[in-house]
Amino acid sequence: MPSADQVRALLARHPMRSPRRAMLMLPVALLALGLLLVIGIRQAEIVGLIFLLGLIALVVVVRYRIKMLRLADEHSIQAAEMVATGRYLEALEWVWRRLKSTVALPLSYGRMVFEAGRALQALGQHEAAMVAFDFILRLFERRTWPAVRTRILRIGSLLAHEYLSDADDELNILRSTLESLKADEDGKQTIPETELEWAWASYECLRLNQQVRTLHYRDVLKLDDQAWLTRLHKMGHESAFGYGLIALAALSLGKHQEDSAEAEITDCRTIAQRWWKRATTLMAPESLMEREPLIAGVHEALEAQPSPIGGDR
Amino acid sequence: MNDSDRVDISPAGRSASRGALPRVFEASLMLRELNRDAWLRGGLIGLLILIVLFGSALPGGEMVAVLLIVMVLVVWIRLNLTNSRSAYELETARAMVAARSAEVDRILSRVLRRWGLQRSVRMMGYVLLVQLRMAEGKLVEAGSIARTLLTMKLPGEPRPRIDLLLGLTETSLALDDHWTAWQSLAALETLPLRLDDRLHQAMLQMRYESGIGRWDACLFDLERKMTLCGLMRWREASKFCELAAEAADNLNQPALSQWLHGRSRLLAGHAESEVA
Repeated sequence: MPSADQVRALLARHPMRSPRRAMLMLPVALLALGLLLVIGIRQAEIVGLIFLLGLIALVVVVRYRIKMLRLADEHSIQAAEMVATGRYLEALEWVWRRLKSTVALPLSYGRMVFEAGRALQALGQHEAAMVAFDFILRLFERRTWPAVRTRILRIGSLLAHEYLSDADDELNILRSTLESLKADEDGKQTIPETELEWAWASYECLRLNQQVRTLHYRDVLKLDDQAWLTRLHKMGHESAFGYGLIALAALSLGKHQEDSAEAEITDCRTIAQRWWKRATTLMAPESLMEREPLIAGVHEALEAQPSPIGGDR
Repeated sequence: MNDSDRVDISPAGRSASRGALPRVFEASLMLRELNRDAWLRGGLIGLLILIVLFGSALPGGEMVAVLLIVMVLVVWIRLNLTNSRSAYELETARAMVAARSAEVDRILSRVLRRWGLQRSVRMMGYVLLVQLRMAEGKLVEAGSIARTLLTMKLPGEPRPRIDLLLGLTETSLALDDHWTAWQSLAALETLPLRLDDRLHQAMLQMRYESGIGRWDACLFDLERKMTLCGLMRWREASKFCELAAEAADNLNQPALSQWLHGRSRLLAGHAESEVA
């Protein structure tokens, strides 16, 4: 499993660079050469022939360049698919082998590094993941979609690592960024609505994670069921993590109330059970625990929603 | 079907304002544009070859021939710069089809009016037009453009063909044209799909099977389908589960139906009364 230093070494070995100047200057150089020939050679046949050859060379170079661009784009898409389908180690190997092919393309390069970070995070290598995320955040402007998405993941890693103070600062930055993205002054959105609603739901889930880690269980349960569902459901199936954390908050609150009335403790357990069933309706308990080890205690204490299809949901 | 979905078959189906896109799509107009571009670009190369071969025979001698060559090349370079700019504008517009359709409409009308575009660039513009019309809810027109484009050889295959087939299936299902939907889905099976395409295809397949009442097909290989559903956005995932639940209802599988209904409601942000 790559360490943080190995990620740094990879990025240092294949740093991003702007497209080769020689390639960009080629059309201009050809034109200049052509004009010199026009002045120097008066024979139309030779001038025409040289121009024709020049044109053919230009077309070949441009086509080659387009092919390389497509290939690099394809590499980054493949990496994203591997991570989305849970093939994390394969994705890491892919990025390590092919990052070099994307160095001249900021978007593809950024995506490759981002996917490496995502894979590392999923494998629990949060320090290494944060190296990749920090790199992306330096690369893209704060209000762009890659930066917003990366910040969300980075906060997840900070929380998992119990860097609670840093996570709080980052959550505040994320909130102000999302608020500024609601709509530009001219009413145009810079990020599509679907992405923005996912980002808001993720923000709420991270705040919930923070509340649970800082033992603010009561604050979590202040909101009623519908309010939490409305806040989290736009994460899609990933909202199961949020529901699992609410179950954990309710269960933990019940345990901390040893001096409270029995009825109150039972009530907490009922709430926890309800949320745990919701979480496990959307995702298998094993998948939930793999990504969020905090939830393991809930799985031991409560009954999961059985799946009629078996396997992963 | 609303008014905007009706195809204007009049030959003058163009917008009154000169700057806008034709109000409705005309295949003949697109073919005319493609031919015009091909003739213009081919003509320039032909002219260059003619000058090279017979330039010395021109009145005024070789200097005139050289000047002509330079003029042809200046036009050629200008066309290529226009092409590069157009391709860049289309690529930018593609990212904002859903959010800023008016702006995409403006970009498309500007690009498609240009002369001498490469075939790939013009086709890219029309593929984008399909996506724009779909986003605007003009499904009949979107379907009509997609059908026309699919009969042609598309540059950069198979990407544009996949986009067009997904778009055509979407419009056909919305218009209850199950025959076309089936044909498009069958054609998609033969193409190499990315993950995003597979998710879209799974959703369309479910809608198609549900639409024609093939409930057993809806629930076939449900475990794999649910894995795909887990990668969809909440709206699509909720709808997907709802359709599967409907199939389970029709096949009298109450436990499965209740579970799927519960998932659908949770994904849509409602308490799952049936599950609790």
